[in-house]
Amino acid sequence: MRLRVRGEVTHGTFTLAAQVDVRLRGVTALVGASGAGKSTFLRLIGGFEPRAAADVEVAGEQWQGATSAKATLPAHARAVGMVFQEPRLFPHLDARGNLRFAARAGRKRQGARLTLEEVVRFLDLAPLLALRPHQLSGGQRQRVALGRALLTPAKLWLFDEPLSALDAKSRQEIAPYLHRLCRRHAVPIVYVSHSLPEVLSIADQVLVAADGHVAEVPSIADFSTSFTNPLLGEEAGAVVACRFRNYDSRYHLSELAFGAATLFVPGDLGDAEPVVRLHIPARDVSLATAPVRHVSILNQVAGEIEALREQGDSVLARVRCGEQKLLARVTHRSVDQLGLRVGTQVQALIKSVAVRAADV
Amino acid sequence: MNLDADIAQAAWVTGLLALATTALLMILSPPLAWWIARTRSAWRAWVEAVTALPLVLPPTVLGFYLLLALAPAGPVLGIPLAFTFGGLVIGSVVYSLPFVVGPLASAFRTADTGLLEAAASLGIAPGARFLRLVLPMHGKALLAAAVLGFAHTVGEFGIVLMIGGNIPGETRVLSIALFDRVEMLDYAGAHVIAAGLVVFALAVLTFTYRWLRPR
Repeated sequence: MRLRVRGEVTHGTFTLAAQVDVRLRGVTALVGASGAGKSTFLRLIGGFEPRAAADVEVAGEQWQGATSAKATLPAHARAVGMVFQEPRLFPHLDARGNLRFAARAGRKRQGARLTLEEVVRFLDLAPLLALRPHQLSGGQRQRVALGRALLTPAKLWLFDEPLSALDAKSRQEIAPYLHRLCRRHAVPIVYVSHSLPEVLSIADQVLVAADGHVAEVPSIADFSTSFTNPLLGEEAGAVVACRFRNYDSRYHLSELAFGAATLFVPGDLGDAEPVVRLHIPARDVSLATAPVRHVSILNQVAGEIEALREQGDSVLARVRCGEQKLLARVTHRSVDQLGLRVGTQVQALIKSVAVRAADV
Repeated sequence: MNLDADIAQAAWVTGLLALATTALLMILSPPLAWWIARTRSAWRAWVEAVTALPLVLPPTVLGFYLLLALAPAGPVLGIPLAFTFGGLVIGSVVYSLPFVVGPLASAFRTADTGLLEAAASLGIAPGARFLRLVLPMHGKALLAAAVLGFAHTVGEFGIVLMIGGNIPGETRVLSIALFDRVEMLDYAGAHVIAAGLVVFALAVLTFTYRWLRPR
């Protein structure tokens, strides 16, 4: 399914310029720092920026025309299921009422929808059905809101930072549902986030919003290790694709093929797709100039430093390991003592616990 | 006719008038208030001003023009509504409109746009959003507006005098009956009506401010 967005949205002094023509499949992450225009982009697709001078085309259907108001479909006629940062549940209805409201609406729209039973089962909503929004916890509310969005006929699901307003505990509670949804369902998803690790483990492709521009990045792996990546902060890390080899039940470790090397990851990943995507935070990768023996770290990958960049008190090193790339965060002192420079042959030591699977 | 029966009849006409007026107002006002609260149209200020006219004009001015409009040979379909109960209802609706539309519009102005967007994203059209979301979420405000509209209609005088006249059982309402009593120097009868209206107004307003304050 193709999504084309071309044009501008202006709010006071802020202007978002979008130039996107992307084939949506699976999960499309839209990342960017706050204020970069991510939500505005999503609202434009959802129909909440009717005055914007922009063309929006979804699956060959024109939803919005830059020059003609006639070509602009009102929000309720657009086949999207939208999850906002806040749950936005209807306060005068209980959870069941909120879900039914959605299940009965939107009959004139075309698109896939789940049944009420499916949604209740999928999100474990049964115990919450009789409760009013104010009786639910933040995470539960957002779960109901997610369910509500899945009940409306949609060609496209738009998730606007659905976890950002939640505390860590609620986030952990709802994240698995979101991830399962992202991996298993046929409706393409555009998932907005300001956190790379949150989306890179589930994204099939990435759009980046920066300084009011939204555009597609060709490769997630390249994007995650690129020094021009606007999100290269504390959470900097590489996204790599590995092939599942086998599961060692004695040590509860999965063995993954990472180019020519082998990575050990806790847990059995054999149920997932054959290709497992991992997010390896730069802060959990150390560098050595020779293979290290007698060390508890399981994962040691040979590579060559491709680029170095100072970042505050530390240095980010991009290490090429065959076809794949890793990021490592090291100190200035280590750079000097080990003589690290572009072209240095190194061993990247990855703490196995830091390897994050897509399916947790 | 004995005096108590006259008062009872005037009370009956007043109650009926207030009920009919409130019923009509509660059909007309919510959409109008919603439009005023949410539109970006350049017409908003003008429409709001017209709605609010009865707040500032002497009721006799409105009554005068309504009388001309509703007269037997008047411009409104030529239906002779002046000096009838029907004419009184129309006058009351006009006169009480701002007391219903005003509070409703302020309640609607603070309606959560986020919820309306969520409803839109679920495929609910604007009309259905209003009927199934806005109205149920503003139950208290609606009840308060209805109570105020009712009470205000009970208390009107000038417009009734102009277009209703003083026909017992048809257009003689309590405020007119009170005026009659005072003119006839029947202060005892006047007290019954006046004190009754004071008690009624006080009860209604207390109820409204106690139970129907938004949030």
